[in-house]
Amino acid sequence: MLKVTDLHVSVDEKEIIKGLSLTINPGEVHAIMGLNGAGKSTLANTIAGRDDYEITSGSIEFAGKDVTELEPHERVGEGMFLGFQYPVEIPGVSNLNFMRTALNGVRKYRGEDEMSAAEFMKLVRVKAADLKMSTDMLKRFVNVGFSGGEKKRNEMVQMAVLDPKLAILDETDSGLDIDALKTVADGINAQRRDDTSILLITHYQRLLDYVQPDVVHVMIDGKIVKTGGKELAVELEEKGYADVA
Amino acid sequence: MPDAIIDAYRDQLWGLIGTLPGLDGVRERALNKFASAGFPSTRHEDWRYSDIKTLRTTPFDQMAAPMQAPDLPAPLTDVAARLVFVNGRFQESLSDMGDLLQAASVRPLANHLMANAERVDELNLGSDSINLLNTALMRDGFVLSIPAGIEIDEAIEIVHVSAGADHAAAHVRHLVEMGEGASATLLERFVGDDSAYWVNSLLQARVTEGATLTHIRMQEEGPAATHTATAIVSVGAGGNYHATNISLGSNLSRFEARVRLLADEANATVDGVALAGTGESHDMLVHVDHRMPNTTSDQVFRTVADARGKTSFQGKVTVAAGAQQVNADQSFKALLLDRTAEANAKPELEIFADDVKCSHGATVGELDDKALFYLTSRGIDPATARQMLVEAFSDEAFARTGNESLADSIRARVGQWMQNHTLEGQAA
Amino acid sequence: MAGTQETQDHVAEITGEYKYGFVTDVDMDMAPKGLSEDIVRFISAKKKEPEWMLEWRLKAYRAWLKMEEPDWAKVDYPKIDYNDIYYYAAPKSQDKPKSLDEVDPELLRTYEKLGIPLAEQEVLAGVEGARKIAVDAVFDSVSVATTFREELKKAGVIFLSISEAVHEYPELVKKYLGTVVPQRDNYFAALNCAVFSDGTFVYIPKGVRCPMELSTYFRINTENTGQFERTLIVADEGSYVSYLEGCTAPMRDENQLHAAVVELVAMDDAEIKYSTVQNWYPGDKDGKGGIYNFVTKRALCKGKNSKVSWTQVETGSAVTWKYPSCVLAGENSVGEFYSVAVTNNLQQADTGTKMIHMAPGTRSTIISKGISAGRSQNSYRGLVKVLSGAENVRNYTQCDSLLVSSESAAHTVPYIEVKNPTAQIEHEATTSKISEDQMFYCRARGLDEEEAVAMIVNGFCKEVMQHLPMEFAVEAQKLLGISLEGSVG
Repeated sequence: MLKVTDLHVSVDEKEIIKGLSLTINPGEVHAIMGLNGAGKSTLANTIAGRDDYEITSGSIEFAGKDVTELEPHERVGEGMFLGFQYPVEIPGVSNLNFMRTALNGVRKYRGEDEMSAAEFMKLVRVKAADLKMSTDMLKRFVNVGFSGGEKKRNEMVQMAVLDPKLAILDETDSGLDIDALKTVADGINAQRRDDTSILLITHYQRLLDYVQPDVVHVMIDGKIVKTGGKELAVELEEKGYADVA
Repeated sequence: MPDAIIDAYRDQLWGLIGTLPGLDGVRERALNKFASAGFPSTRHEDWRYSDIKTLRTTPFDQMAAPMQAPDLPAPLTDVAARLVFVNGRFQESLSDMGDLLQAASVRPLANHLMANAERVDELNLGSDSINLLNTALMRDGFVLSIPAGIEIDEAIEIVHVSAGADHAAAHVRHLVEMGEGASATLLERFVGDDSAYWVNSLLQARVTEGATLTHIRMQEEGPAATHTATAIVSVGAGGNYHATNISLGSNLSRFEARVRLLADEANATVDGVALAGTGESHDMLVHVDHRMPNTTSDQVFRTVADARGKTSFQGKVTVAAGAQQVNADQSFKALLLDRTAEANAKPELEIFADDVKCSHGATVGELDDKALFYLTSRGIDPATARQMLVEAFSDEAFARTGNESLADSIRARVGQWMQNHTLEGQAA
Repeated sequence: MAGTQETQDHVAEITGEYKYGFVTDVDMDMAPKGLSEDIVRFISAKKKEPEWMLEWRLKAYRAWLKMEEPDWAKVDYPKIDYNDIYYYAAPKSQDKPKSLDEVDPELLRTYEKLGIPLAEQEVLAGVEGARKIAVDAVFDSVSVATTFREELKKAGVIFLSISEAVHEYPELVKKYLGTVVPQRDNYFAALNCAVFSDGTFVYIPKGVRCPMELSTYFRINTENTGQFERTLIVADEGSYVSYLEGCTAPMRDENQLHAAVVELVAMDDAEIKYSTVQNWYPGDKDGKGGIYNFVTKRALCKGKNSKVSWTQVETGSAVTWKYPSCVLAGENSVGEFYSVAVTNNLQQADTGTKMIHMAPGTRSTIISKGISAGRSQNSYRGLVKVLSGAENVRNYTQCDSLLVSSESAAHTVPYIEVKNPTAQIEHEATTSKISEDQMFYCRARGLDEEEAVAMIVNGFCKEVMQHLPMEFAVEAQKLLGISLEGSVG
């Protein structure tokens, strides 16, 4: 599904990712763990195609296709999704309008017809209900005035609506209380299928209690230094990064 | 200012003698004042951001009737009545008064002055040269009077069309009187062809106790036009004046609202959107004067400027001595879409009372990169994303149009502009 | 809380309204009243200036004659008769004293009363570890003493009166004088160029961090005297200096004119921190007397990554007209303006800043706090301008006004002019009165009304005060309290 080969990324001419390789197969859930500043968010943003993240060498292949030159929205069209660590507030744009425009943008990219308003509403209502999001929140401006937990749930609703093949979730668990964490985990597990992949980026092992990863990577200073099964996450929690890596 | 220009306007004045009853003396006084003041330059504080060089260097004749009846713009919403002015003159045949006359009085300025000669004193001379020239050379206008307690739900539309009027001007003067507790929406529209004409409008409104006047101005003048407009409004106890100005057309436009809040619980909201296309300049000025205690005002302005476009805002709130318990807010945000775009703002507070809460905020910048990436990371293409953000940006200024279908049509116009300009921006 | 209590104590200990209002009795050497080319020549001759300096003055004088006094500020004062002012007044003694021993003891006592230690020994004898401050004391028209000169010289820092600098460092003065504020810049600046009598010159060489705070203390003493001092500070590449400025004047019934010019130049990576506590005599309760403070202060951030920070606490003067500004010409240079302006009784202040962003990556911050009491007028006037070639400019402006009396007035007149789309400009302003909740809370904790106001005002100004050097901050807090005395009730 995703194949990252010897990736080097610089931001403002400072190298953050320093030769990272990663392969995720369909049906797999991977977790990347690491301390602040290890380059985890940079990796997520780079895969999603953020402008100011410069790939100096290496490649990113998605479903067998090199996506390094694709625009962010084109990558979504291909089936990728990035869940933000800090979802952005957009005053004046309603959540519904936002999601509908997004979904139809993706459908257009794939050469599919636009979804009718009625069909779309039906879809969103179901997905929002799954994630315990009120219709009131759907009508509000994107993330404006949302609590931390509400923002993350909103990310999950968007993911469910767009139904990506690969979801990269950047610190989706941060700032959540235990109930919200369970709801978000349910959202992630619902997206977990034989034909989809998930890349969780996290600081703590907490989320991994609810979403069992197949593979865990430890990232330090722009590189993956260790890869293992889910027991690696437990070990990290107990011993800390310095000992494990 | 060259004498030739003053002479030209004096000649015009002679031609107007007798056209509006009882006005000749007032005209002369205004023109004399104008002659000594001259047209303002950008050194004049209130004209700092509007350079009316064309007006300073060329005299503009009075507009004549066009060779053929011009096209009228499609309605923006269901209206109670439509009054049409072509090249500054009221056109009864093109107007549709609907049932309005059963509820309110609407008549041309000439008839009004004929019937009430003494009311010529109510015509405001105005405080700057543009107003003075309007007073000296006004040709036509309407007097709208909504009796006490009458509420008119649908908008009263006034369409100003200019055509075939190179170097000619229309000086229109409208008077609006809202009786106690009355309410109405005035939708002023300005359209024109591509001749280099000048529309100079002055609207005086009196909003008495408990009345509400919603005043929407949709300025879509032709691309070579100059548009100057002033609204002079007084608001009585518990009265409301809601203005929304949209500047979309013309090469240079300037709208100035001067609102005085004269009694307890008088309220004014003055909002505006200006979209400056290539080489255009749109200037909006507001002065809300809180004369009395317990009055409130709010201003929301959003502007967008494209290549060599310039948008400007001067918002002034004054609170008179003793006018306690005043709340006044102002918000101005400007977006620059191009390297050569320009935005200016001067949000001014002048406070002579202590128990007040006044604030203003202003921001200038380009589209937020983070928001743009967030949208595109959800699969929205960049052009659409830009358009969505720009529309959302300007939307806050339409919140008080009071009429959803009207607000939607205005939004559609603005959206169309955005589409044309944000797509260009994307291609660049 | 401790700091605030301290302020309360300081405020309480001081009685009388303006404690610097005494007159020093010394023999003065004066030019005849009035202004003419002859007076300009007289001043220049008194200072034994070279020909180029005289020519420079005359050029400014001739320009001034053709200029008009500005009237756009929200201040109102009777027309100034420029021929009814003494343009030169100096304590009688032929040359500047070589050492402090030669200074007229009466003068030293004046500065002592003002709390300005001129005798270096006194400073050294003070609390161990106390920071040293070098002082240039300007009495009416001339500099009477400059301290710590030798120690500074060792560090390579030039710190002396500008009239001495004209003789000792003519090339440096010629190179920079008038480059930031040109002779024709404005009416008061032109006047200053023609008749400036003294002031301070500072040059910090490449890479030098000035080892102590530098300070000038201005004192107007003689009746009907105008003070026209001129300060020029040049910070060469990679250098740093912190400069303090204080001002007082005797209580007099007539108004006195103060038209100073301050020019700062910061080269690559240099930083200048300029702090002012302005406490000129504000006039009495009925607006009689007081200083007209018409000052042009401007900094040129010439080099890349240079930084200039203006901090001012303005409590004095009858009329203030002052806009310390930054011209950000060097890439990534930074301009800052932190201001507290308090007006009471019939004082009028029209003050603010201009940040002119000419180069890419330049940043500026403006924090202005205006407090209006009595029947005073207090205006913030500012300009943030971004030129078309200046990419990625940032500005944040916050100007808040606090109204302490129902008869006072607060005005905010900011201009924002942006010609580059990559700029991010943010401006916020509020005007409000002291919150009754806050007042009640303070009263409920045992403070009287005046104490409560002083405390809330100090809190309101905190963001600005914290940018002042320590010694000044304490002084400034005291001043705030004193300035607001009698404003409540």
